[in-house]
Amino acid sequence: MLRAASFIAIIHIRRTLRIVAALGLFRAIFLLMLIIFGFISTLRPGMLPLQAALILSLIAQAHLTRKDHNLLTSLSINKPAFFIIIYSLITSPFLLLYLFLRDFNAFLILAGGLVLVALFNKPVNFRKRKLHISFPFIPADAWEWRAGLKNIWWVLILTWVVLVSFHRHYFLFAGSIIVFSLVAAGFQMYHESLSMIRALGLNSRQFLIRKIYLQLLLFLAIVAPAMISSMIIHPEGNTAMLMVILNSLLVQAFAVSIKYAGYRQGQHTQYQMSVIFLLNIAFAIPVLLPLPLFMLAIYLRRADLQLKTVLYA
Amino acid sequence: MLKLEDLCFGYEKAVVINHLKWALEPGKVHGLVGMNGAGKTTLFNILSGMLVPQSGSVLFCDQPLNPDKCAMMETTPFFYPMISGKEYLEIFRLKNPDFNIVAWNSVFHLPLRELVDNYSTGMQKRLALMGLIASGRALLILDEPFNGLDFEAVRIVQQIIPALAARGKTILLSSHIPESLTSVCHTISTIKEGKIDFTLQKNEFGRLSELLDSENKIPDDILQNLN
Repeated sequence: MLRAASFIAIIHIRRTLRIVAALGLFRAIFLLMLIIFGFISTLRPGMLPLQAALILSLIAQAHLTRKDHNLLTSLSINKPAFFIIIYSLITSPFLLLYLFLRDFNAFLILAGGLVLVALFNKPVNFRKRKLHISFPFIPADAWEWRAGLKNIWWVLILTWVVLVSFHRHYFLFAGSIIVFSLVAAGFQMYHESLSMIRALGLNSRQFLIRKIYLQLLLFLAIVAPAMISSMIIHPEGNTAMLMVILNSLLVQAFAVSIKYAGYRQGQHTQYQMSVIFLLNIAFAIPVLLPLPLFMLAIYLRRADLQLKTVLYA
Repeated sequence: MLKLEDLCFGYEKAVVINHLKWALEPGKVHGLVGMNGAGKTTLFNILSGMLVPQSGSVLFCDQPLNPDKCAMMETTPFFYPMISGKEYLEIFRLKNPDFNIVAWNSVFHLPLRELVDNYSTGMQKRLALMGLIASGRALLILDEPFNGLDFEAVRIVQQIIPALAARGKTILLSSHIPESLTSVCHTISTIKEGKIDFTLQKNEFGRLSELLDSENKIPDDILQNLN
């Protein structure tokens, strides 16, 4: 088991290096800077448990969405012991660091979390909800929203309930906008069929403008109650709220751009949510502040080019 | 002998496998045919240990089937992004160090140093089949192996599968196109409403179309009235 885990860990490291190499020099340096910045900023006293929780959340996300169950079952290694070993190997520098710095809370969060995550070795199948709500008032060409809201309306309701219950806490309003932004951007992850794009009869630029317009309009519609309530109840936080809203709007436009920049019928944009997550919190980290605007400018052009290629192919 | 006895499985209230009974001889190729959603993949997932049956038993050589005896090739095989063909096969060599990658690749003709991301669908299927063989398991399951294969790859698969069975492997493969199985299988069974509807031996394959058509044939009057 140890041999298999070490071997597969080496293969994962090689793959990761290839992915970084495929990013290109500029993006690889940028990514490295972000990682170093994140690492250093969480090295301060009391921040190590947060760092451990962040690493754990990355591993948990990768573990629960993995698709190698059949491959590992065919090798008889789809077992908790295998995952405990491989994740311990991958996170060993951090575990050793926490022991060295005598931060046992961080060590326990990471080590204990890894063991708990490793226990889930079967595919995670979310139960299908029986209550399906349709949204016929949403324009038909906002198909992502019609489909997305059908699956995720309960998250929006839950967020509003939390906001109403704890309306005295200002940070919850800003937090809810970020949640809504993540949810709405997530709708753009899956690529529709080409016939749906062609059916609108628009050229690439008109299509892109229409999709961004719909994304911004519908996003504003779902965040409006939280935004207005916050401005009335907590006027002292209006500047910060404005920053969050502006940043989220840029993220929404970026979500549409990145989708169509890499559009391939029936596929989904890989790593989209990781980038979106990073951009969503950009307003809070000075070094990242101009990032959404910068990324939007790059990907808008790429989306237009890709749509031109696809539409005139 | 692989024996499935009174096997039941369902997703929530939908019964997919319904008191299924099936006996498969070792060293033979067994085809399973069924409509979309008939339960072929669910049955294969139970055999491979990915799903646990709600009742019934699966016996292999009179012992409960251990997932260690079985390997499965999915309809759409999964590969880690940015992995090379050679690295993929080397993972299987962890359990079967005797597997000779070079010798087998002289049959499959794959550019193993290339990343799997750059392979065509047919090449990915061939690689997945090589992985299945490399696992060295006694029971091999292939879910829709002919989907997405070009004619050359189909020929390779049609030659290799019987050769593996001749070495004593029990092979189970599915298709929703019955004709694709007749050249490789020793038996063909159909699954319907979660049960094995009928099983034909090789010398009875001529009756396959007749049996399937008797249930699915569109009446002539409906065909004539179609505009």
